[in-house]
Amino acid sequence: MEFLLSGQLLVAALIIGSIYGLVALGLNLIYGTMRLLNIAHGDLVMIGAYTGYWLFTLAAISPVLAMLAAGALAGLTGAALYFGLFRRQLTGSQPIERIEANSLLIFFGISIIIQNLTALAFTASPRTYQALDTLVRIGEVSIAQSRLVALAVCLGLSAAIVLFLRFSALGLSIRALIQHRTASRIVGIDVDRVQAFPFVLGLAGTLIGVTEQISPFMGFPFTIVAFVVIILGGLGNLAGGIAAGMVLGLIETYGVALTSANLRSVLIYGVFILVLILRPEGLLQRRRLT
Amino acid sequence: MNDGALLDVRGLAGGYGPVKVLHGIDFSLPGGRITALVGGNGAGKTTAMAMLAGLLEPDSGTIRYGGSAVEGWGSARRVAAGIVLVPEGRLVFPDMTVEENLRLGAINRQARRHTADGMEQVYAQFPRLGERRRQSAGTLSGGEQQMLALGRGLMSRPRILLLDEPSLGLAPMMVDLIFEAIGALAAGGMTILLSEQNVGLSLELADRAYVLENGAIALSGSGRDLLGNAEVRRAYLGL
Ligand SMILES: Nc1ncnc2c1ncn2[C@@H]1O[C@H](COP(=O)(O)OP(=O)(O)OP(=O)(O)O)[C@@H](O)[C@H]1O
Ligand SMILES: [Mg+2]
Repeated sequence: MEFLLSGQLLVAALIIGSIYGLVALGLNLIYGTMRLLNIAHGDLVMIGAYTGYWLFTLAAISPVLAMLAAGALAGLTGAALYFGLFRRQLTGSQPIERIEANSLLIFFGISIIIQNLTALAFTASPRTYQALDTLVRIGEVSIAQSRLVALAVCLGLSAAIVLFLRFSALGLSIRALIQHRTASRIVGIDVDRVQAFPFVLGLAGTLIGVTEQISPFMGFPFTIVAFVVIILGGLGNLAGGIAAGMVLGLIETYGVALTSANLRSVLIYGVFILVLILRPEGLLQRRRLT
Repeated sequence: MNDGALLDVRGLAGGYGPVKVLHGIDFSLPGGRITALVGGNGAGKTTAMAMLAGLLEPDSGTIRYGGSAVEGWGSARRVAAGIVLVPEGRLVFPDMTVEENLRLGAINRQARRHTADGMEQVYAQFPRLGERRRQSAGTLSGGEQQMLALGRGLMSRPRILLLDEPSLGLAPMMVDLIFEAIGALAAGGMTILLSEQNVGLSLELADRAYVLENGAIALSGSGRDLLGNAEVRRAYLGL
């Protein structure tokens, strides 16, 4: 049981947790502001991962730069989806509940299309690549450079997004939109302009070029994880979601260490179901009486 | 067209999809005056307000504000131009502080640079809001939330205030406080459209009033005239 106390395991958990937090933050922003259930969220993580892979393999471009490219690509995809598919629906007079239900089906379709196009282009077989794989020693812990970069980028970007939402006027508008769409229109927030940002921002969060194993179907587990995290943290509660990402990272890492890697999905779904039964408003959400 | 009116509405009709609520109503708001829109539950007052604020697209009709036709304008543009709604049910942002709610009132570019001044004025008018500036709006009492909704509206630097049921569900003391504030605003030259269940109080305050029944204007006149009107007294004042 001594390995449970090792710094190595803790760092691994923090890395996973920070990735979960950032991926879920994007989903939370998109759901919170537009009530769009982005089932294709994880597939954008996959696109980001392939971007990193090809840039490194073909052009020896460092994963750090590739992340920026992947973020830009995911952000552009977000803008294209928003302006091409959702803008008309969202500015129309449909009730938001109908948009929510429709979006689930639309994103489901998008997800399948993205996965299969990727499989067609790059085959379905998983790939790995070794970039920034020199080990860095910090005390007794040794970590691959690439994972250290992932940790720094995820934490840094999450913090930057939260600070932006907290302190800028645009951030205030986005938070207002998450809380009350009609009230936002009443105070004169230009909803159409404002909600384009979470779309771009949220998807840019999928830039983490996850370096482990890449395949066209790697995205779905991220989607699931992202939904678990935002339900843990409370829908629309952005900072709570980041904390919940960490919590899930810890649960998963230590849970797997105690049992077996085969139980990873069981653990994640288990947490999901438990939270839905015990605290459907989210683990970290304040309870309100009204 | 009614000369001297800041806002002039002709033939406003529409509703929610197949549900037609308004069947072509005309009214106008003279600048610097209080105009009352009264009528029973479901008459269409809130619907008319939503159309003026740009929240709901009418099927037909014109809305002229100053010299321009504003029908195609979205709500953001109307707020920036000075048409500001204080909605029925207050609709404050529950998880934001009082101060953040007020900042959101001034989110449009014209008003934003006056945020600090505006806040000071609101706190001077409603000291209770000042005392609770860091409290989240969802934890305020109903009356305090109404003050906040009104304060938030004022933060937008309105030229026309659309007040939808500002006294709904409030204790008499709080009603007095809100109406005092409305009176002060009118004395300061604000143009106000007031929709109220409290028909007596709003007719007393209003320079001009329209009675809305089943989506059509049934009666109109000065507030005083309508107060003396036998039908109004019977139907709305229970006299
Ligand atoms: N979102 C909606 N969808 C469909 N019908 C609606 C909707 N909102 C209001 N209505 C209907 O429109 C009619 C007018 O409602 P409105 O809220 O404008 O009345 P009101 O005069 O403001 O009444 P009250 O004094 O009760 O506030 C009502 O019959 C109501 O049922
Ligand atoms: Mg109403």
